[in-house]
Amino acid sequence: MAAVAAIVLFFPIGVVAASDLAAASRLGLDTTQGRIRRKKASRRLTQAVGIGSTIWVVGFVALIMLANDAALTRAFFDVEVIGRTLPTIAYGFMLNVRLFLVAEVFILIAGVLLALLRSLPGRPAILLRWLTTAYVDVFRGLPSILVILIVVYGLKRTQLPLLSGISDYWYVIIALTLHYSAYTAEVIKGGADGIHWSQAAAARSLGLTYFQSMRYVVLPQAMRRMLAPLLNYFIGLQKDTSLVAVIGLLDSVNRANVQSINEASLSPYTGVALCFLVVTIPLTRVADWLEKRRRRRELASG
Amino acid sequence: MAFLEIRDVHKSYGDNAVLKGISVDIEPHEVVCFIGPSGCGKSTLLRTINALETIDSGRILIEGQDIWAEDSDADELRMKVGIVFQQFNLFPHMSVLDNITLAPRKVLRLGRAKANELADELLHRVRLYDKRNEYPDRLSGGQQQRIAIARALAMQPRMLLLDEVTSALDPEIVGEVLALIAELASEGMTMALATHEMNFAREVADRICFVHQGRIVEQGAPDQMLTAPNDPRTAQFLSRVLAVGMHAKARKGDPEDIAAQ
Ligand SMILES: Nc1ncnc2c1ncn2[C@@H]1O[C@H](COP(=O)(O)OP(=O)(O)OP(=O)(O)O)[C@@H](O)[C@H]1O
Ligand SMILES: [Mg+2]
Repeated sequence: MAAVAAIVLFFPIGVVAASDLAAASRLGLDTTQGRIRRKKASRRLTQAVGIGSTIWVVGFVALIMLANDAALTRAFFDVEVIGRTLPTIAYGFMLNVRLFLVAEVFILIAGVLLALLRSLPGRPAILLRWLTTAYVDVFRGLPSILVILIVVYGLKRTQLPLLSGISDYWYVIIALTLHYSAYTAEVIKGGADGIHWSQAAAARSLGLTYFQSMRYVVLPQAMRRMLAPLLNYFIGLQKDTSLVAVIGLLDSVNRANVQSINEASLSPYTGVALCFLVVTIPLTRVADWLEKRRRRRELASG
Repeated sequence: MAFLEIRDVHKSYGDNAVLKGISVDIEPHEVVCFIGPSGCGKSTLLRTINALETIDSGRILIEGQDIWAEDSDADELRMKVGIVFQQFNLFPHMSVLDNITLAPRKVLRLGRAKANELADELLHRVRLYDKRNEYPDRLSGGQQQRIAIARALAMQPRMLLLDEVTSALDPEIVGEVLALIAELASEGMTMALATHEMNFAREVADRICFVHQGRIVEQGAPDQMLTAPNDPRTAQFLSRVLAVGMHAKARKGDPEDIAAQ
């Protein structure tokens, strides 16, 4: 069956593999020769499947790009349009980056506070724990776009003294902070829970307060475990900054909306994609690398 | 007046009643060893003494002050009583020096120079001055435990609680830690120990309490307790432990399990 698939996927290697298989079964698996042949065959099969599926994927993509008189290619990959609109889109992307950076600071602060409140010990803190748990559950359960809409269109109506004067930009920061601090709090709490209880107990027994023992003993150790998951959420946050397009802020996506009408082309969106990928791919690589390093270290330290 | 008074303390984890009415007094300068099978509640008892665990009923008084009274400050009382656990005591992300000076600097608000001076003195005392800038993972288990004891002493506690501090150590380095504890005992430090080291308990303890299923079923002078216990349960426990040899404790397992192997 696999041999047939290999022949279909990638003819020459498949044929060789099939002949190896045939030879192997002729020689029998109890002979060294037979076993070697079989191993060779299975290696070639893997190779064949790899090469074959690559060819299929490339072919399929090419088909999509070329179908209907290359309609898709002309719409999205008009190099001239991309070049012409990229400056204004990149300028809009600065707003995405700025939202990301500013929100991130608030998110980290709020996340740490929430995590601390959520794992506060003792009976008197039961209501605080309950409240922060409810907060985390609600905001983790809502789509971020909904939070943005509620905050920007809803909170504005309250005319609250402190909030009424601020711009949509800051409303978005508030919305993103509300949403992502819930995730961040979970990651931080998870990281702190992973530290052996005797660390916190030792700190408390020396007279440190709960907050001191968190700040000096537990959180610094939890940091290493938290980095990769935090970074992954921040990549999500970076992408979610594009949601501000729905409330009319002129970020890269909204500028692409405008440009695509001007230019009667979808290619400006490719510029947006390029902008995001330039940021998110390196971040993803870093997150993966951090995670790998953590695993290795944990194995090494037993 | 006794330094520590424990009055009819009860403690459960959910349905699991761990302490079922423990009462015991510890006088100043007294060394008391708690022995008993795994799971009998020794660690829980020690943790309740410095308020790391809450209690369900009963009273714990340190120098006459109820640690759970409305007007007492658990953080402050805790400083009077240091504790060292079986393992994972030291903070792995800090040097030996920082491990020792953290609490003096953050709690007692000593300046760095003052705190270092204090730490150096203690490091000399536990004979590990040359390790002051090392990180815990570069120390042997025995050295780690001696540093943990030094760190507890840095807060100038009136009493030390030692919870099987040698149980996770290789037999050949148990001695250096026990020697340090014996030294502290001879200097008059008030101590409560949970231990499986019967020989050591006999040497260093003024009194041994046998804990069985959350109760102190018998207590007395070491010689009497270890050679001529009154309670059959004590006798049974001792015969099991002694049969397996003095190092049966090493693993976390119940002596019963080890004996069965
Ligand atoms: N944090 C906890 N949560 C729930 N149950 C616990 C907790 N700590 C201890 N226990 C339970 O309480 C009982 C007594 O445990 P404890 O550690 O005090 O025993 P021990 O006498 O110190 O035993 P060992 O000699 O093995 O150290 C055990 O049944 C244990 O499972
Ligand atoms: Mg124990």
